[in-house]
Amino acid sequence: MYAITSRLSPITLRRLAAFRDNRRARVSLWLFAVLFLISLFAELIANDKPIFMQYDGQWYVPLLIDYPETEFGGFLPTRTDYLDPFIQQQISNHGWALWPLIPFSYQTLDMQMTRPSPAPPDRRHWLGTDDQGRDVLARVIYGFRLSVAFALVLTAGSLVIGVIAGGVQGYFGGKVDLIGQRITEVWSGLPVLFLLIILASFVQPGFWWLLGIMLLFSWLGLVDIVRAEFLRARNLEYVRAAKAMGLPSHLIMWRHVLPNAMVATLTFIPFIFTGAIGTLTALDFLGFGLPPGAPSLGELAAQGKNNLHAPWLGITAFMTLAIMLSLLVFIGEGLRDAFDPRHVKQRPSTAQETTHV
Amino acid sequence: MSEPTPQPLLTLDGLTVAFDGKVVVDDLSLSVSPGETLAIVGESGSGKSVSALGAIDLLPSNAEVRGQRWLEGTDLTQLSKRDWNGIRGNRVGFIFQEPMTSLNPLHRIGKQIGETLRLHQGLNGQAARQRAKALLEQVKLPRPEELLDAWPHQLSGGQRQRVMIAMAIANDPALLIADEPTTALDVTVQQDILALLKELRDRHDMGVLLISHDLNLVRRHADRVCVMYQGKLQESGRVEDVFRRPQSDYTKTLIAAEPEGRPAEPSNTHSLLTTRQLRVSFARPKTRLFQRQPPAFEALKATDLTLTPGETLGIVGESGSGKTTLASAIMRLVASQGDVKLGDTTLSQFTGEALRRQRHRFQMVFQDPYGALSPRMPVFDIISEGLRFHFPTLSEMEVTERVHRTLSEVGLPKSCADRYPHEFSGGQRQRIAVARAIILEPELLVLDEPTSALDRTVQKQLVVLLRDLQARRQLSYLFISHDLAVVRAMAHRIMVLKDGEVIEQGNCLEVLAAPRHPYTKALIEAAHLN
Repeated sequence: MYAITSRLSPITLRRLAAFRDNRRARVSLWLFAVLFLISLFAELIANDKPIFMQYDGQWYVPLLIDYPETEFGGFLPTRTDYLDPFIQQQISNHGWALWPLIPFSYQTLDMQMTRPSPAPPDRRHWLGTDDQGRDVLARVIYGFRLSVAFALVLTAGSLVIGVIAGGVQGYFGGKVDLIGQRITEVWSGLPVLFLLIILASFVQPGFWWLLGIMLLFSWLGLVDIVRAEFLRARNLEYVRAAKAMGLPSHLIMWRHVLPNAMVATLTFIPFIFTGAIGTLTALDFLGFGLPPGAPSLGELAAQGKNNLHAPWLGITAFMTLAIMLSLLVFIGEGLRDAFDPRHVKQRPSTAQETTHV
Repeated sequence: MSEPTPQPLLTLDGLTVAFDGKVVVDDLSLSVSPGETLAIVGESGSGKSVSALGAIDLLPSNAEVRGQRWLEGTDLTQLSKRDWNGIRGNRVGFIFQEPMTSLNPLHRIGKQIGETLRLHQGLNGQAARQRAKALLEQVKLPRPEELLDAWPHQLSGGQRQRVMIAMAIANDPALLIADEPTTALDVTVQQDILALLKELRDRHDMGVLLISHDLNLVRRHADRVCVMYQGKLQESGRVEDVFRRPQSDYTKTLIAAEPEGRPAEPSNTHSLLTTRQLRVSFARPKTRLFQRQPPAFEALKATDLTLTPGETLGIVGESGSGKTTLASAIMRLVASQGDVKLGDTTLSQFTGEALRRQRHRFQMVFQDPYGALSPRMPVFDIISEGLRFHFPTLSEMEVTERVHRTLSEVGLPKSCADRYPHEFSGGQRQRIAVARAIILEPELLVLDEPTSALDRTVQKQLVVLLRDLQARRQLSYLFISHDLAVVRAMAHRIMVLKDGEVIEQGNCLEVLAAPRHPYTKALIEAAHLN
């Protein structure tokens, strides 16, 4: 009950203030949050189905439920293709439909194209289409979401594994530390890219496969930082006091050491995050990443390379990645500076007010 | 001691220092004459260091300094940045508190001294080296030729402070500012350093501004004294006058703040804690591959001690004597050989979970009140943490009740419970640390220098509190301290440690009155108990 009334300590307040004072980081954080929020609702923004519609006085929610074409006067009991001119004609005769802003999903092939693919931007496809006639803007929105989600899960996973591995090594020290360090060294020597390429030859790597393989290695970067923090903290007096009190090691690590080790760890997170996005994109670009058809920025970049006569592909991929990674790096810089004690104005210790007991 | 000459060296008139509008030094006036030592005395936060730093413009930019400042006819308020560089380190020398950090660890001693010589006197190469060697001789360092090429980490604390002094006097300053020059040093070393300062002052006819919290030291080493409290000058005058007939109330409390009184006699005579042949040794690292394992470093040689319920055993010694190692060994926080017996339980046979379950019977209070409390936990959680672990059957109500009862027992209000450690002063934090230990109702409390980071007046209150707790709960204390005045007020018996070995033990008052070992004699002499 007392823990819930967690008032922010002055250090936290000072860090928040330092972050807020950094205009670039603050603006980047806002921009990134807004972009990510928009991409979270990608289905409502870019989709080949109406969000909801009225047909013959009845309500339909095509976004959530698949209706057979016969429902709307079609001939086949298959899923309705709402982009079909016949169906669209039927809907406008019998009621109305609310369409998303962009009437294409990431894998919708535009059958009504009058121009060859890849088609340059026009009013129908704001960023043009790729070489299979899919809307580039829709793919960018979904691809952004997929990249960020991938990076988020990977970062969270690395954080858990890295903190546990580094924490155990640092806290216990001695032989545990020595052996743990050698194992992580050997492990970090394994070539990640080759493993992925070999893997791609006998399974079709999906989202979770890729995540799993990359998770095996991405935590290594965190181990050293967390280990160093735990090594330092285990000799602090309040940690010794907790030991003298008889608390078991896992409680001491969780309650006393971890909260203080998290500061250094947190500053590292944005960079793991950008690294994860970069790696995923690189794998997709090389063709060892997500399965074909998945909305991926790397695949878009590869298309740009293969279709140099369609510069909107390459430029879009480049701009998306550049903006996303820059925003993340700016946020990371802001965080790092906010946590850096040297960035704080020095206050002389002698001037502190002392209240007497 | 020379009489103060009429022409003062440093004059401050109405000095006021404010940080972001908050006044920390208020209307301070003083003057230092050549050949005289003026001491500024006060507790932490009284503004004594700030006023000295403010006088010579060494404060950060958010400080605002007002008032008249003169150094031998130079108006210090009119100086430009460039002029200051010609004054600091040249006409004014400094000695700081922390000899461990005020030397650059990456430069040899000779180079560091040479730096000031090059800047202010333009000396280079061999000339600078010769002068540096002469300076090291002046501060009475042995083998100055070798020391010039030594690294700071090869020197002891006292030697480093001597190097600092050599650097401060390198340019024959008119004024020497010594900010707590001996606080970080052992008592026997303190004496030598202060004697050296006095000798140098007389030889060079310097004025010395000595900043200290230690009344005993000021009394014996200063000519005049200024007492400061909360930024205000309380009283100033000749040392003898101020100490004999203090005028202000604050000076009176400060002089009376020497811990006094004696603990209540224990009623019980059966032993609670017994150690037999308790030894601690640390392996030395191999310097070469395939080298034979070098002999272990014996931090604590075989020690026997006993302690009865309600009794306090004072452990006395200088830094490195093995006091804290002994405490850690008894607390079973470091690996040790030999037996530790608490009541009927032989603690040294327990490990892991079984040992943890015993830990509520023996608790410890640490030295640093700022480091011993987790900064991210409210006081209630800090105090109740051990209780919840050792007595998991207690209901939330009972835990709250016991925390509040313990808080009032250590003299803190209930409202402290949901505040964080940083909101408390050093003395209050130490009370919280005591509360955390005694809420488990231990039989033995190990106190590792609990008072050394506190001001004298606060020390005295803590000593009274600890004695009360002992009388009420029949607690046994193992009281570790380098401060004999505090030990005298706390301990029934004392034990003197040197280099990990017990060199003398016995009844506290008897040992203090008639020490047998020469080292104990030196310690007692240096402490100047009255």
